[in-house]
Amino acid sequence: MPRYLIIGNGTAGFSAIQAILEYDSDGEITVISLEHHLPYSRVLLTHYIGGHVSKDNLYMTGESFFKQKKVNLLLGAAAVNVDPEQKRVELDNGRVLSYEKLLVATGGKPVIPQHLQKESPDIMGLRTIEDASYIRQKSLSGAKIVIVGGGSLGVELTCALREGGNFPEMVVSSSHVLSRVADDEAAAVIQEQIQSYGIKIWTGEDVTEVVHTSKGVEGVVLSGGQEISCQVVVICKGVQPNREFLDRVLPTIRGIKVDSNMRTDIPDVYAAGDVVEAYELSRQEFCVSAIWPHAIAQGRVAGMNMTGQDVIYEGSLSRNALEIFGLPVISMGITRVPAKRDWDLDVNQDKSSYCKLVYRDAKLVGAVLVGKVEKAGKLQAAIRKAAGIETVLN
Amino acid sequence: MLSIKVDTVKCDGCSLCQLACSFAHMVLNTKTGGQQKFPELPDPLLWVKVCEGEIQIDICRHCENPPCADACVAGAFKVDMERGIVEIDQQKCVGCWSCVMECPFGAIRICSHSDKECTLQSRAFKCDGCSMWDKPLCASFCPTGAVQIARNNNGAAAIQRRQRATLLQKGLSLGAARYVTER
Repeated sequence: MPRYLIIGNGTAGFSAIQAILEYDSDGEITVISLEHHLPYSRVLLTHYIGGHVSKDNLYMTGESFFKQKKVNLLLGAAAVNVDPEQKRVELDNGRVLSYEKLLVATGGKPVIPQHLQKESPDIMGLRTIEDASYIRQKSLSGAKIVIVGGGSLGVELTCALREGGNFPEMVVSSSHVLSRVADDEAAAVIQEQIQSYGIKIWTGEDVTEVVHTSKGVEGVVLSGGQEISCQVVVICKGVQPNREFLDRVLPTIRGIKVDSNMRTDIPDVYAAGDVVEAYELSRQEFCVSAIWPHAIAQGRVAGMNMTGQDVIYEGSLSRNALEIFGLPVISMGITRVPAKRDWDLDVNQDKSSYCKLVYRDAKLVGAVLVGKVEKAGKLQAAIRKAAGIETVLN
Repeated sequence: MLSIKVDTVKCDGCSLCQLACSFAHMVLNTKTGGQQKFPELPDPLLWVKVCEGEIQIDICRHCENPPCADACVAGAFKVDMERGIVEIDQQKCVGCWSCVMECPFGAIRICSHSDKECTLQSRAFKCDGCSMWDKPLCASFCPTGAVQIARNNNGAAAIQRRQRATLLQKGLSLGAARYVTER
């Protein structure tokens, strides 16, 4: 009987495998992967589109790792149901796998609004190697691309395409790009930087319709009535957790809630990565914070605890780093201040940089840095310290 | 093992360490026996600056539990257990700024060149541990003892300890509160 079963072969799953191997080298590990790929770095996909990395360098490890460590890898399979009583997982190919400890690391999938869900390969999200390859190929062949959504993925994709010589257009429903991660002032600087590279940004607009004929996608219609002709629509409106197969045993509308040991409410079932809702230090509440360092840390904590260790995940801290044509932007924790007492702001701005620090009860809870970002790490340590976390480094 | 101690109280801000670092790396890169001409000194890999009246020395501590390595999305950071050094593979780095966001010592910079043609090549750089020198030149030249670096060869036991500590501490965080899910 396999002891460890991991559903999901992304960053969190791979991090968990490494932790389990370190603490229980005799344990049997089986990994189920929906995608027909060895674990790869999803964050690098925009860099692949922009030509910064080759396809081969997207992968975190080679096939030999799984052979050497005797980790069973089942590619192209998805879990459809979990039976916590019998400790079994049903797969879509009819197989049933039993487990002693189960990790759910199924990640997320792009949110595609209902009215844009059409049967066309040219209306898509960006989540997999296949998506990235398709966008890259379309971009290189000169297709006009519309990016819907101005979050960090939308902005990174825009920059990547522009670096590859393509001029996409962005459609952003808020008044600025990056409305979630940056404040209005920083967003304005960022937006100017993007526009100065010849990118058209439609703010306060949504795509109401994709014009789609037998020839394929021909354009989009915006809420303001304008039409943009294009051949590809990439929707970057965030990701939602892949947890439908757990609906019967763990009903929830958001991510899977985990405690500080990365345990779900079902005995011997752990969860990690983009699929979970973990405690967030700055917001002081449980939420989905789907970023790479959380996936690494959560996967490791889950993996170690699955082997019988007792390790605590200190909580997430939402953060984001990106570069917009040479202009670095880092934001952490809470970036928008509610109009309440006990909240305070410290803003420093000059020609080449912008720095905003956010305080709650005189404790640092957030920061936005544009231009000069060297001190970002120190600020992150300060936010963690204010939240009562001291990380051991050396 | 490389142990780096920084005492900013002793630092008088002379920045000789920065200069020594640049020269150390210039000499290292001179394979032509001094025949090659350099247009300028290479960038230093540590930085002394005054911030709000306080002197800060930004230098990599080569942590046993490096958050920069965890944050790297490109697998460019490597911990050399034997030498006790955290290294960046410039071939793999994509300059995504994640490591800069994580380093609590502010010890990583990105070298970024971008122009209107969008020929972008960003790479992270930081202290490389100066393996070619017995004692890194920044520490050798520091007149006040603000930067002290020792290279101890503690053998296999120390390496094992480091390996163990690295994994353990990656998960553990002292003082972290336990929390439970509320249904």
